[in-house]
Amino acid sequence: MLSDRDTADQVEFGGGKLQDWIEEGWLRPSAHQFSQADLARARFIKDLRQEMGINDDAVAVILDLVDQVHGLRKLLDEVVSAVCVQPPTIQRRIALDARRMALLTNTHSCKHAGRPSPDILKRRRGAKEAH
Amino acid sequence: MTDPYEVLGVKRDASQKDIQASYRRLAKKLHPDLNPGDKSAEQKFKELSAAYDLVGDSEKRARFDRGEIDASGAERPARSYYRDFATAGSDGGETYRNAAGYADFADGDDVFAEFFGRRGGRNIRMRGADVRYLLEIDFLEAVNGATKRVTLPDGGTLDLVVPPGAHDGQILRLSGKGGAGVGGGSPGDALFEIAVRPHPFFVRDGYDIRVELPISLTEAVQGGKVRAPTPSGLVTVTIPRWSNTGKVLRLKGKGVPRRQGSRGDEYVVLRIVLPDQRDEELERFVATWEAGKAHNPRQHMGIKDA
Repeated sequence: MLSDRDTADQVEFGGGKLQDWIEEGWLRPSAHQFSQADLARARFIKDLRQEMGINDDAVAVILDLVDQVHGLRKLLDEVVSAVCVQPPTIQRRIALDARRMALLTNTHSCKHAGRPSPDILKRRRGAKEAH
Repeated sequence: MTDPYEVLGVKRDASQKDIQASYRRLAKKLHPDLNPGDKSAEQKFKELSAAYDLVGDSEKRARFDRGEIDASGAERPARSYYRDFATAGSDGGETYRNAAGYADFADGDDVFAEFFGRRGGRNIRMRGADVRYLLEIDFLEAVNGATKRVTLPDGGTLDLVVPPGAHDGQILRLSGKGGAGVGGGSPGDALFEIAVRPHPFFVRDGYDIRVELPISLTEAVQGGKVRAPTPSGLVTVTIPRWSNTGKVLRLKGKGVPRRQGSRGDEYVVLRIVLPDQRDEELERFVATWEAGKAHNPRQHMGIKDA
Protein backbone atom coordinates (compact mmCIF):
# COMPACT_ATOMS: atom_id res chain seq x y z
CA MET A 1 0.00 0.00 0.00
CA LEU A 2 2.92 2.29 0.61
CA SER A 3 5.13 1.17 -2.20
CA ASP A 4 4.41 4.13 -4.41
CA ARG A 5 5.82 7.40 -3.35
CA ASP A 6 3.28 9.37 -5.40
CA THR A 7 0.48 8.24 -3.15
CA ALA A 8 2.28 9.24 0.02
CA ASP A 9 0.41 12.49 0.42
CA GLN A 10 -2.87 10.61 0.55
CA VAL A 11 -1.79 8.03 3.05
CA GLU A 12 -2.66 8.55 6.65
CA PHE A 13 -0.34 6.62 8.84
CA GLY A 14 -0.87 6.57 12.56
CA GLY A 15 -2.45 9.97 12.63
CA GLY A 16 0.18 11.60 10.41
CA LYS A 17 0.57 12.14 6.74
CA LEU A 18 3.55 10.44 5.17
CA GLN A 19 3.89 13.48 2.94
CA ASP A 20 4.36 15.68 6.02
CA TRP A 21 7.06 13.37 7.35
CA ILE A 22 8.88 13.51 4.03
CA GLU A 23 8.72 17.30 4.12
CA GLU A 24 10.11 17.29 7.65
CA GLY A 25 13.01 15.20 6.37
CA TRP A 26 12.11 12.31 8.66
CA LEU A 27 11.56 10.07 5.67
CA ARG A 28 13.72 10.29 2.58
CA PRO A 29 12.42 7.70 0.12
CA SER A 30 14.04 7.46 -3.28
CA ALA A 31 12.25 9.05 -6.24
CA HIS A 32 9.53 6.49 -6.72
CA GLN A 33 9.66 3.81 -4.14
CA PHE A 34 9.63 3.22 -0.43
CA SER A 35 12.36 0.83 0.60
CA GLN A 36 11.95 -1.71 3.41
CA ALA A 37 13.91 0.69 5.58
CA ASP A 38 11.59 3.60 4.73
CA LEU A 39 8.54 1.55 5.71
CA ALA A 40 10.08 0.31 8.95
CA ARG A 41 11.12 3.86 9.76
CA ALA A 42 7.58 5.11 9.11
CA ARG A 43 6.28 2.50 11.56
CA PHE A 44 8.86 3.66 14.07
CA ILE A 45 7.72 7.28 13.67
CA LYS A 46 4.14 6.12 14.08
CA ASP A 47 5.08 4.29 17.28
CA LEU A 48 6.84 7.37 18.64
CA ARG A 49 3.92 9.69 17.97
CA GLN A 50 0.96 7.45 18.58
CA GLU A 51 2.06 4.69 20.96
CA MET A 52 4.38 6.80 23.08
CA GLY A 53 2.63 10.13 22.62
CA ILE A 54 5.83 11.96 21.77
CA ASN A 55 5.41 15.37 20.19
CA ASP A 56 6.86 16.25 16.81
CA ASP A 57 9.74 18.38 18.10
CA ALA A 58 10.94 15.49 20.23
CA VAL A 59 10.43 13.03 17.37
CA ALA A 60 12.91 15.06 15.31
CA VAL A 61 15.49 14.95 18.09
CA ILE A 62 14.99 11.22 18.65
CA LEU A 63 15.33 10.41 14.95
CA ASP A 64 18.53 12.40 14.72
CA LEU A 65 20.05 10.61 17.71
CA VAL A 66 18.88 7.21 16.50
CA ASP A 67 20.50 7.93 13.11
CA GLN A 68 23.74 8.77 14.87
CA VAL A 69 23.54 5.56 16.89
CA HIS A 70 23.14 3.56 13.70
CA GLY A 71 26.04 5.41 12.12
CA LEU A 72 28.17 4.47 15.09
CA ARG A 73 26.90 0.91 15.14
CA LYS A 74 27.76 0.50 11.47
CA LEU A 75 31.20 1.94 12.08
CA LEU A 76 31.78 -0.32 15.07
CA ASP A 77 30.63 -3.27 13.00
CA GLU A 78 33.19 -2.42 10.32
CA VAL A 79 35.98 -2.02 12.85
CA VAL A 80 35.11 -5.34 14.51
CA SER A 81 34.87 -7.04 11.12
CA ALA A 82 38.31 -5.68 10.21
CA VAL A 83 39.69 -7.02 13.48
CA CYS A 84 38.09 -10.40 12.83
CA VAL A 85 40.02 -10.99 9.60
CA GLN A 86 43.32 -10.51 11.43
CA PRO A 87 45.32 -13.47 12.73
CA PRO A 88 44.03 -14.75 16.09
CA THR A 89 47.05 -13.43 17.99
CA ILE A 90 46.43 -9.91 16.71
CA GLN A 91 42.73 -10.21 17.46
CA ARG A 92 43.50 -11.10 21.05
CA ARG A 93 45.99 -8.26 21.30
CA ILE A 94 43.50 -5.72 20.03
CA ALA A 95 40.78 -6.98 22.36
CA LEU A 96 43.20 -6.75 25.26
CA ASP A 97 44.46 -3.32 24.31
CA ALA A 98 40.93 -2.07 23.85
CA ARG A 99 40.22 -3.02 27.44
CA ARG A 100 43.43 -1.34 28.51
CA MET A 101 42.46 1.83 26.62
CA ALA A 102 39.24 1.99 28.57
CA LEU A 103 41.37 2.60 31.63
CA LEU A 104 43.63 5.14 29.95
CA THR A 105 43.03 8.19 27.83
CA ASN A 106 39.84 8.76 25.98
CA THR A 107 41.52 10.02 22.85
CA HIS A 108 41.24 8.09 19.60
CA SER A 109 44.35 9.37 17.92
CA CYS A 110 47.01 6.78 17.19
CA LYS A 111 49.60 9.35 18.26
CA HIS A 112 48.25 9.54 21.75
CA ALA A 113 46.94 6.05 22.14
CA GLY A 114 48.68 4.03 24.74
CA ARG A 115 50.09 7.02 26.54
CA PRO A 116 48.55 6.99 29.97
CA SER A 117 46.81 10.13 31.11
CA PRO A 118 48.52 12.10 33.89
CA ASP A 119 45.69 10.97 36.07
CA ILE A 120 46.53 7.31 35.63
CA LEU A 121 50.25 7.93 36.08
CA LYS A 122 49.53 9.70 39.34
CA ARG A 123 47.44 6.79 40.52
CA ARG A 124 50.14 4.30 39.55
CA ARG A 125 52.80 6.30 41.37
CA GLY A 126 50.54 6.43 44.37
CA ALA A 127 50.13 2.66 44.27
CA LYS A 128 53.88 2.14 44.09
CA GLU A 129 54.58 4.41 47.03
CA ALA A 130 51.97 2.57 49.05
CA HIS A 131 53.97 -0.66 48.65
CA MET B 1 1.29 -14.75 28.91
CA THR B 2 1.65 -13.11 32.25
CA ASP B 3 -1.05 -10.92 33.73
CA PRO B 4 -1.40 -7.81 31.55
CA TYR B 5 -1.77 -5.58 34.62
CA GLU B 6 1.48 -6.92 35.93
CA VAL B 7 3.23 -6.38 32.57
CA LEU B 8 1.99 -2.80 32.54
CA GLY B 9 2.91 -2.30 36.18
CA VAL B 10 -0.53 -1.04 37.24
CA LYS B 11 -3.14 -2.15 39.72
CA ARG B 12 -6.24 -3.93 38.51
CA ASP B 13 -8.38 -0.93 39.36
CA ALA B 14 -6.14 1.60 37.61
CA SER B 15 -7.90 4.15 35.44
CA GLN B 16 -7.67 3.94 31.63
CA LYS B 17 -5.59 7.08 31.79
CA ASP B 18 -3.10 5.55 34.23
CA ILE B 19 -2.86 2.46 32.07
CA GLN B 20 -2.09 4.55 29.01
CA ALA B 21 0.49 6.60 30.89
CA SER B 22 2.20 3.48 32.16
CA TYR B 23 2.13 1.91 28.71
CA ARG B 24 3.69 4.99 27.14
CA ARG B 25 6.37 5.19 29.79
CA LEU B 26 7.34 1.53 29.30
CA ALA B 27 7.12 1.73 25.51
CA LYS B 28 9.68 4.54 25.54
CA LYS B 29 11.96 2.32 27.54
CA LEU B 30 11.42 -0.96 25.70
CA HIS B 31 10.77 -0.11 22.05
CA PRO B 32 13.33 -2.10 20.02
CA ASP B 33 14.13 0.90 17.84
CA LEU B 34 15.15 2.82 20.94
CA ASN B 35 17.34 -0.12 22.00
CA PRO B 36 19.07 -1.04 18.75
CA GLY B 37 21.56 -3.42 20.33
CA ASP B 38 19.30 -5.15 22.83
CA LYS B 39 17.97 -8.44 21.47
CA SER B 40 15.63 -8.95 24.41
CA ALA B 41 13.85 -5.64 23.77
CA GLU B 42 11.74 -7.16 21.02
CA GLN B 43 10.20 -9.83 23.24
CA LYS B 44 9.62 -7.41 26.10
CA PHE B 45 8.00 -4.85 23.83
CA LYS B 46 5.84 -7.56 22.28
CA GLU B 47 4.57 -8.55 25.70
CA LEU B 48 3.92 -4.95 26.60
CA SER B 49 2.00 -4.33 23.36
CA ALA B 50 -0.05 -7.47 23.87
CA ALA B 51 -0.89 -6.42 27.42
CA TYR B 52 -1.96 -2.98 26.28
CA ASP B 53 -4.04 -4.44 23.46
CA LEU B 54 -5.98 -6.32 26.09
CA VAL B 55 -6.60 -3.68 28.75
CA GLY B 56 -5.80 -0.41 26.96
CA ASP B 57 -9.27 -0.41 25.52
CA SER B 58 -11.96 -0.09 28.19
CA GLU B 59 -14.45 -2.35 26.44
CA LYS B 60 -11.94 -5.14 25.88
CA ARG B 61 -10.63 -4.66 29.39
CA ALA B 62 -14.09 -5.20 30.84
CA ARG B 63 -14.48 -8.45 28.93
CA PHE B 64 -11.05 -9.55 30.09
CA ASP B 65 -11.89 -8.71 33.70
CA ARG B 66 -15.10 -10.76 33.44
CA GLY B 67 -13.06 -13.66 32.09
CA GLU B 68 -14.72 -13.66 28.67
CA ILE B 69 -11.38 -13.38 26.88
CA ASP B 70 -8.00 -14.41 28.07
CA ALA B 71 -4.51 -13.24 27.45
CA SER B 72 -3.65 -15.93 24.93
CA GLY B 73 -5.55 -14.36 22.05
CA ALA B 74 -3.71 -11.09 22.32
CA GLU B 75 -0.44 -12.13 20.73
CA ARG B 76 0.66 -9.76 18.05
CA PRO B 77 2.18 -11.12 14.87
CA ALA B 78 5.94 -10.75 14.58
CA ARG B 79 7.00 -7.54 12.90
CA SER B 80 10.25 -6.10 11.76
CA TYR B 81 11.67 -2.95 13.26
CA TYR B 82 13.58 -0.08 11.77
CA ARG B 83 16.74 -1.24 13.52
CA ASP B 84 16.66 -4.39 11.38
CA PHE B 85 17.41 -2.26 8.32
CA ALA B 86 19.24 0.70 9.76
CA THR B 87 22.64 -0.88 10.29
CA ALA B 88 22.46 -3.33 7.39
CA GLY B 89 24.07 -2.23 4.16
CA SER B 90 21.19 -2.81 1.79
CA ASP B 91 17.46 -2.13 1.83
CA GLY B 92 17.89 1.60 2.17
CA GLY B 93 19.17 1.81 5.74
CA GLU B 94 22.25 3.73 4.61
CA THR B 95 20.03 6.67 3.64
CA TYR B 96 19.51 7.72 7.22
CA ARG B 97 22.71 6.81 8.99
CA ASN B 98 24.50 9.82 10.30
CA ALA B 99 28.19 10.40 10.89
CA ALA B 100 27.73 13.22 13.39
CA GLY B 101 28.45 10.84 16.25
CA TYR B 102 32.07 10.26 15.20
CA ALA B 103 32.99 12.95 12.66
CA ASP B 104 35.62 14.31 15.06
CA PHE B 105 37.51 11.03 14.77
CA ALA B 106 38.46 12.07 11.25
CA ASP B 107 40.37 15.12 12.51
CA GLY B 108 43.56 13.28 13.40
CA ASP B 109 46.44 12.63 11.04
CA ASP B 110 46.70 8.91 11.73
CA VAL B 111 45.69 6.04 9.49
CA PHE B 112 42.20 6.01 10.91
CA ALA B 113 41.47 9.61 9.95
CA GLU B 114 40.94 8.44 6.40
CA PHE B 115 38.83 5.53 7.55
CA PHE B 116 36.56 7.70 9.66
CA GLY B 117 36.50 10.51 7.14
CA ARG B 118 35.86 8.52 4.03
CA ARG B 119 32.12 8.33 4.54
CA GLY B 120 29.94 10.95 2.98
CA GLY B 121 29.48 9.52 -0.46
CA ARG B 122 32.87 10.25 -1.98
CA ASN B 123 33.71 7.71 -4.63
CA ILE B 124 36.56 5.60 -3.50
CA ARG B 125 38.46 2.74 -5.02
CA MET B 126 39.79 0.25 -2.58
CA ARG B 127 41.50 -3.06 -2.86
CA GLY B 128 39.51 -5.88 -1.29
CA ALA B 129 40.56 -7.23 2.10
CA ASP B 130 42.92 -10.15 2.43
CA VAL B 131 41.08 -13.09 3.90
CA ARG B 132 42.88 -15.53 6.14
CA TYR B 133 42.22 -19.22 6.45
CA LEU B 134 43.78 -21.99 8.46
CA LEU B 135 44.82 -25.00 6.40
CA GLU B 136 45.44 -28.17 8.42
CA ILE B 137 47.63 -30.73 6.70
CA ASP B 138 49.30 -33.98 7.68
CA PHE B 139 52.98 -34.11 8.58
CA LEU B 140 53.91 -36.04 5.45
CA GLU B 141 51.85 -33.74 3.23
CA ALA B 142 53.92 -30.85 4.53
CA VAL B 143 57.22 -32.66 3.96
CA ASN B 144 56.45 -34.19 0.57
CA GLY B 145 54.05 -31.54 -0.75
CA ALA B 146 50.40 -32.04 -1.64
CA THR B 147 47.49 -30.59 -3.51
CA LYS B 148 44.60 -29.73 -1.23
CA ARG B 149 41.12 -28.92 -2.44
CA VAL B 150 39.68 -26.16 -0.26
CA THR B 151 36.15 -24.81 -0.14
CA LEU B 152 35.83 -21.06 0.23
CA PRO B 153 33.01 -19.40 2.16
CA ASP B 154 31.31 -18.44 -1.11
CA GLY B 155 31.03 -22.13 -1.98
CA GLY B 156 33.72 -22.10 -4.65
CA THR B 157 36.53 -24.63 -4.47
CA LEU B 158 40.12 -24.34 -5.50
CA ASP B 159 43.14 -26.58 -5.57
CA LEU B 160 45.89 -25.33 -3.37
CA VAL B 161 49.40 -26.57 -4.02
CA VAL B 162 51.34 -27.13 -0.81
CA PRO B 163 55.02 -27.09 -1.82
CA PRO B 164 57.32 -29.87 -0.54
CA GLY B 165 59.01 -28.78 2.67
CA ALA B 166 56.14 -26.55 3.78
CA HIS B 167 56.34 -25.72 7.47
CA ASP B 168 53.93 -24.94 10.28
CA GLY B 169 52.87 -21.30 10.15
CA GLN B 170 53.86 -20.84 6.52
CA ILE B 171 51.42 -18.74 4.54
CA LEU B 172 50.30 -19.61 1.03
CA ARG B 173 48.96 -16.63 -0.87
CA LEU B 174 46.39 -16.91 -3.63
CA SER B 175 46.19 -13.49 -5.17
CA GLY B 176 42.80 -12.18 -6.11
CA LYS B 177 40.89 -14.82 -4.14
CA GLY B 178 40.17 -12.61 -1.12
CA GLY B 179 37.47 -10.04 -0.47
CA ALA B 180 35.96 -8.12 -3.39
CA GLY B 181 37.34 -4.69 -4.17
CA VAL B 182 35.32 -1.52 -3.63
CA GLY B 183 34.55 0.90 -6.46
CA GLY B 184 36.44 -1.07 -9.08
CA GLY B 185 39.40 -1.83 -6.84
CA SER B 186 41.15 -5.15 -7.25
CA PRO B 187 40.16 -8.04 -4.99
CA GLY B 188 42.29 -8.96 -1.99
CA ASP B 189 44.23 -12.15 -1.56
CA ALA B 190 43.32 -15.38 0.16
CA LEU B 191 45.99 -16.27 2.71
CA PHE B 192 46.22 -19.85 3.90
CA GLU B 193 48.17 -20.36 7.08
CA ILE B 194 49.48 -23.90 7.27
CA ALA B 195 48.99 -25.87 10.47
CA VAL B 196 50.85 -29.19 10.38
CA ARG B 197 49.40 -32.06 12.37
CA PRO B 198 52.03 -33.96 14.36
CA HIS B 199 53.23 -37.36 13.15
CA PRO B 200 53.15 -40.47 15.36
CA PHE B 201 56.93 -40.97 15.12
CA PHE B 202 58.56 -38.36 12.90
CA VAL B 203 59.63 -35.12 14.54
CA ARG B 204 60.76 -32.20 12.46
CA ASP B 205 63.73 -30.04 13.35
CA GLY B 206 64.15 -27.41 10.66
CA TYR B 207 64.91 -29.39 7.54
CA ASP B 208 66.02 -32.44 9.48
CA ILE B 209 63.81 -35.26 10.68
CA ARG B 210 64.28 -37.16 13.88
CA VAL B 211 62.85 -40.58 14.45
CA GLU B 212 63.35 -43.04 17.29
CA LEU B 213 63.94 -46.57 16.00
CA PRO B 214 63.39 -49.53 18.32
CA ILE B 215 65.93 -52.37 17.88
CA SER B 216 66.12 -55.75 19.50
CA LEU B 217 68.79 -56.79 21.96
CA THR B 218 70.18 -59.16 19.34
CA GLU B 219 70.39 -56.39 16.75
CA ALA B 220 72.05 -54.13 19.31
CA VAL B 221 74.67 -56.69 20.23
CA GLN B 222 75.36 -58.25 16.85
CA GLY B 223 74.50 -55.40 14.53
CA GLY B 224 72.72 -55.99 11.26
CA LYS B 225 70.49 -54.51 8.62
CA VAL B 226 67.06 -53.20 9.62
CA ARG B 227 64.44 -51.20 7.79
CA ALA B 228 63.75 -47.65 8.96
CA PRO B 229 60.97 -45.25 7.97
CA THR B 230 61.75 -41.98 6.16
CA PRO B 231 59.23 -39.46 4.79
CA SER B 232 59.82 -40.91 1.32
CA GLY B 233 59.45 -44.54 2.35
CA LEU B 234 61.36 -47.36 4.02
CA VAL B 235 65.14 -47.60 3.67
CA THR B 236 67.60 -50.22 4.87
CA VAL B 237 70.08 -49.07 7.47
CA THR B 238 73.01 -50.93 8.94
CA ILE B 239 73.14 -51.12 12.70
CA PRO B 240 76.78 -51.39 13.79
CA ARG B 241 77.66 -54.20 16.12
CA TRP B 242 77.29 -53.25 19.83
CA SER B 243 74.95 -50.26 19.30
CA ASN B 244 73.57 -48.67 22.41
CA THR B 245 70.27 -46.94 23.07
CA GLY B 246 70.70 -43.30 22.10
CA LYS B 247 73.11 -44.00 19.26
CA VAL B 248 72.29 -41.74 16.34
CA LEU B 249 72.55 -42.79 12.70
CA ARG B 250 72.44 -40.10 10.05
CA LEU B 251 70.58 -40.81 6.83
CA LYS B 252 71.92 -38.16 4.53
CA GLY B 253 69.41 -36.44 2.27
CA LYS B 254 66.43 -38.25 3.78
CA GLY B 255 65.08 -35.14 5.53
CA VAL B 256 62.85 -32.31 4.37
CA PRO B 257 63.30 -30.85 0.88
CA ARG B 258 64.69 -27.32 0.77
CA ARG B 259 63.58 -24.81 -1.79
CA GLN B 260 66.92 -25.05 -3.62
CA GLY B 261 66.38 -28.75 -4.23
CA SER B 262 68.65 -30.22 -1.59
CA ARG B 263 67.23 -32.04 1.40
CA GLY B 264 67.92 -32.13 5.08
CA ASP B 265 68.94 -35.33 6.83
CA GLU B 266 67.10 -37.86 8.89
CA TYR B 267 68.55 -38.76 12.27
CA VAL B 268 67.65 -42.19 13.52
CA VAL B 269 67.95 -42.56 17.28
CA LEU B 270 68.26 -46.19 18.34
CA ARG B 271 66.39 -47.57 21.31
CA ILE B 272 66.95 -51.09 22.58
CA VAL B 273 63.73 -52.92 23.35
CA LEU B 274 63.48 -56.22 25.25
CA PRO B 275 60.90 -58.76 24.05
CA ASP B 276 57.47 -58.36 25.65
CA GLN B 277 57.60 -61.93 26.96
CA ARG B 278 60.16 -62.95 29.59
CA ASP B 279 62.75 -65.35 28.27
CA GLU B 280 64.11 -67.92 30.71
CA GLU B 281 67.20 -68.66 28.68
CA LEU B 282 68.22 -65.01 28.67
CA GLU B 283 67.45 -64.68 32.39
CA ARG B 284 69.59 -67.70 33.17
CA PHE B 285 72.42 -66.30 31.12
CA VAL B 286 72.27 -62.87 32.73
CA ALA B 287 72.27 -64.44 36.20
CA THR B 288 75.62 -65.98 35.46
CA TRP B 289 77.04 -63.07 33.49
CA GLU B 290 79.73 -61.59 35.76
CA ALA B 291 80.72 -58.66 33.48
CA GLY B 292 77.12 -57.56 33.38
CA LYS B 293 76.93 -57.49 37.17
CA ALA B 294 80.06 -55.39 37.37
CA HIS B 295 78.85 -52.89 34.80
CA ASN B 296 77.70 -49.56 36.32
CA PRO B 297 76.06 -47.39 33.64
CA ARG B 298 75.44 -44.60 36.19
CA GLN B 299 79.08 -44.02 36.93
CA HIS B 300 79.16 -40.75 34.94
CA MET B 301 76.46 -39.41 37.26
CA GLY B 302 78.69 -40.03 40.21
CA ILE B 303 76.44 -42.77 41.52
CA LYS B 304 78.14 -45.81 42.98
CA ASP B 305 76.21 -48.97 43.54
CA ALA B 306 75.43 -49.62 47.15
